[in-house]
Amino acid sequence: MNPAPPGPADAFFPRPIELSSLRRGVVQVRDIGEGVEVVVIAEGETLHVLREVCPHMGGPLSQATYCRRDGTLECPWHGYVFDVATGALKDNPNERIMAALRRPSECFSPERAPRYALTAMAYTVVGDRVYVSRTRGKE
Amino acid sequence: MKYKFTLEYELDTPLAIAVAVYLDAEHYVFLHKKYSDTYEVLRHDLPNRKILIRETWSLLGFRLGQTCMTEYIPPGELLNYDIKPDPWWIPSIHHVMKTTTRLVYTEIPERNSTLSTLEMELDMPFWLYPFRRFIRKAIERLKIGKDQQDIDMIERRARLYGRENNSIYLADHQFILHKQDYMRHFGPNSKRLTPAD
Repeated sequence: MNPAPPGPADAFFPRPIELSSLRRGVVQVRDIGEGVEVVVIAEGETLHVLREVCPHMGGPLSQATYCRRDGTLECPWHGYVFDVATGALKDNPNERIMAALRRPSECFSPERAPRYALTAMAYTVVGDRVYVSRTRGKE
Repeated sequence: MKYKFTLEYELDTPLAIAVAVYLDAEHYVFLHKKYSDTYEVLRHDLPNRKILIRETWSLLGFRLGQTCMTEYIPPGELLNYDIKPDPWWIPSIHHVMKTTTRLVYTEIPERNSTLSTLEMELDMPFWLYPFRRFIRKAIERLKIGKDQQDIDMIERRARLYGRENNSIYLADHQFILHKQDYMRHFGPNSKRLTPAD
């Protein structure tokens, strides 16, 4: 019999992730129900469950490039690099590629860039199942 | 000998989005890395909206590339010309063929979509002329392939943020090419101008 999620059932997305189905060190996408997909990265004892949408322009993080050594995720659309552990934007390579053209003007103020960050999804592990919470942030 | 052809199709997105995606140079070497994975600005004349670029790609272990003058004529016209192989000694069709492209985006008001019209002019020696249709097919395949990647991005963004939402391109922290001109034509206080204006 499958273990039940802790607390009220509607606190979690309906479809749990099976821990034993996860491979280590790669980006995996899982459907957690209600049309929501998450990116899951299992590294050692750590599990990162992230919203599948890049915070910059909405790129598909299921197609992102994961660097195990640096613990970063690179969005396939614009190459923005995020730290998986903290979620924070670590590098926008376009600042170098487009350096000659990125001149501040009345309609371009690079210093006002928001602090883009990956959205970590809170989760609870029960047996072999990972229940993803409807609230954001790590538990 | 000159050979001209036109490739025309409808993009299911508003004109403001189609133009923004073209001017959003930050995606060129990431989304389109299959086609070219480096982009470098060699020279620019921004008041005249001209940028000389170099782009390169890898083929069979060799790094090939080309330089190209790009020009934007607001609101929706984009030119590419003076295409030269880079480095100069690599084998390339551009040694013997002069290529000029004019891409025009025009609004289709009844569907709030965009007509994409690519006009190509190939100036080639007589011995290459018998291969003109083969060259045309290769160019069309390249253009359609890149456009499909853009359309996939546009459709996903439309599902997430709305079909007409160009706010990220207008945001003051977001870089796009020729942003001032884009803002004039597609920004919140825009007045649709013609190139003559």
